[in-house]
Amino acid sequence: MLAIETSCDETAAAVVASGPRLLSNVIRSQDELHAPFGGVVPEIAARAHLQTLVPVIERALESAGTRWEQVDGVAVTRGPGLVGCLLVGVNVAQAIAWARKLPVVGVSHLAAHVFAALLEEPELRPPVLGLVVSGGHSDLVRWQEDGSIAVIGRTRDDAAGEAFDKGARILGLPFPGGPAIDRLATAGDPRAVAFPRPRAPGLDFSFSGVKTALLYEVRKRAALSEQERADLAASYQEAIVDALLQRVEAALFPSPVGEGGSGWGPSPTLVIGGGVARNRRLREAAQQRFGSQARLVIPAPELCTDNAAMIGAAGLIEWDRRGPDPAPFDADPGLGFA
Amino acid sequence: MRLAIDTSGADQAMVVLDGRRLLAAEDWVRSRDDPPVLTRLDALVKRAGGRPDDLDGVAAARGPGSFTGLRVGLSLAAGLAYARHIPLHLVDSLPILARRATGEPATIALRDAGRAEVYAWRDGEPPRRMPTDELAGWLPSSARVMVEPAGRLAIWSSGHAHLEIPAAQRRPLSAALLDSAIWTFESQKPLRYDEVQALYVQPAAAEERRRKASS
Ligand SMILES: [Zn+2]
Repeated sequence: MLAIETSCDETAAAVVASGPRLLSNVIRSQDELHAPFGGVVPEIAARAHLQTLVPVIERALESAGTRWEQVDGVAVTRGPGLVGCLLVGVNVAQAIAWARKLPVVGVSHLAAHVFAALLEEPELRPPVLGLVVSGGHSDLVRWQEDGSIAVIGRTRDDAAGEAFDKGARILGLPFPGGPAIDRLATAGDPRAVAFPRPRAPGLDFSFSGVKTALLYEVRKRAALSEQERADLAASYQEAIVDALLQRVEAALFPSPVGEGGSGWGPSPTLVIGGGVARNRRLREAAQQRFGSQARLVIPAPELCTDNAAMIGAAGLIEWDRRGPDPAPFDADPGLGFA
Repeated sequence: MRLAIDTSGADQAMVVLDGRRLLAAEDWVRSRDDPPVLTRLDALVKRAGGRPDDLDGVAAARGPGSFTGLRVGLSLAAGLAYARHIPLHLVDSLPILARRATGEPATIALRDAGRAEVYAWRDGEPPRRMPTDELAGWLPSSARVMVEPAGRLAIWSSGHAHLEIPAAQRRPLSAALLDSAIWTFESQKPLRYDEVQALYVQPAAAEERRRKASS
């Protein structure tokens, strides 16, 4: 399957064989284009997709050694994302499919962040608890036995990635903020400042409080020494990571456990995906906290950031479940996990 | 069999041609609940009696035009060209608009750019965006002007209203697109995929802020 992803600022194409087995995974990042603006500019992102998508697809097919005759279908991100960006992928993908008489399956970018785990553990089956954390989303989901994905918790305000980006700006770090905090935090003390652990009802998240707390901490100090900056970054990161994992724990091990058990089976499976899943502290802390009690899958960083390999994996799953899309479709910027 | 598509403006069109011969054409007015353009494309090619494998060239209007329309048209064209390894052409939208005049093409084409601005083209020059109140100084007194939307010249520059080609003397966009496509396929060089770029009636807001900040 040829897979295409253009929902935000990565232009990506991949070739994924059934299994799923990854044959190629090409990503052209636009970070350089957006850095001067301190964030992703939708029009610039769409323009870059238009110019680079076909060359990226070309490279994905080449490096997989795949000829057109070997392609059985096309998978593409239908949403959610920036509409002008999605449009490019959705139309290029469907034009290719039409011209080569191939079936197309439009998939949810969010669901794909969960299905990315299949590229590393192909035998993974539901039920699976998924934590999808990125610049636009912080969702706790359940990959159900019937193949669908149900949202069981979401953020009430900022997404985790947004919280990292805003925190980075407060600390005077460059865009993209998540990796900048991750790097700086390695030199800091995560216990230097006790940031509040945000609590929202149920399994929901909330990050605006901790962001405000960081702002106050920075304002309290006349000037930040390098060490203070690193300590703040480490403490801020720790608060976000801890808040995320608290909710995961509450979902995995509800107490008291009802008569039906936790609903996750004898050994629960946890998948963490999305751009924020590249964060080293999140990966390490999740391993410490759940490594011995659950089967934990956090895909390699290049499969956590936006990529088309995961779209291919999702395409194969959706294909099995509901078949290809019967008619041409538009981009759906507000699409959820379905 | 070749395909040309113009989704840059409010009036949109697609034609399928064989050499200089028109096989099928479709005109429509952009609206919110349009079906995907690919649905029309598929039906049009069928109506022309062709199949995807028969395509040996594709052209798309590059603007100036709307963000969404151009992205859809150019993405479809690029995908088709790549998948079938056929030449890809981009065509300027305002010369197509000028060819909507019956008889000789108009010498001037104007497309509303919003924000009291207009995209203006005259033969031999690249299109340029200008405030509508500069039109009076720019329009030659002998011009034949094609305007989109029709009738707007009287509002933009009332002294020139008589220069606008009246609605009764307009052809469907597809007729103009056919002429432009024939000329393009016969005389123009195809593009590389990384040259696929749209011209929008207005620059992106963020880019404009940055340009102002740096000047
Ligand atoms: Zn994502």
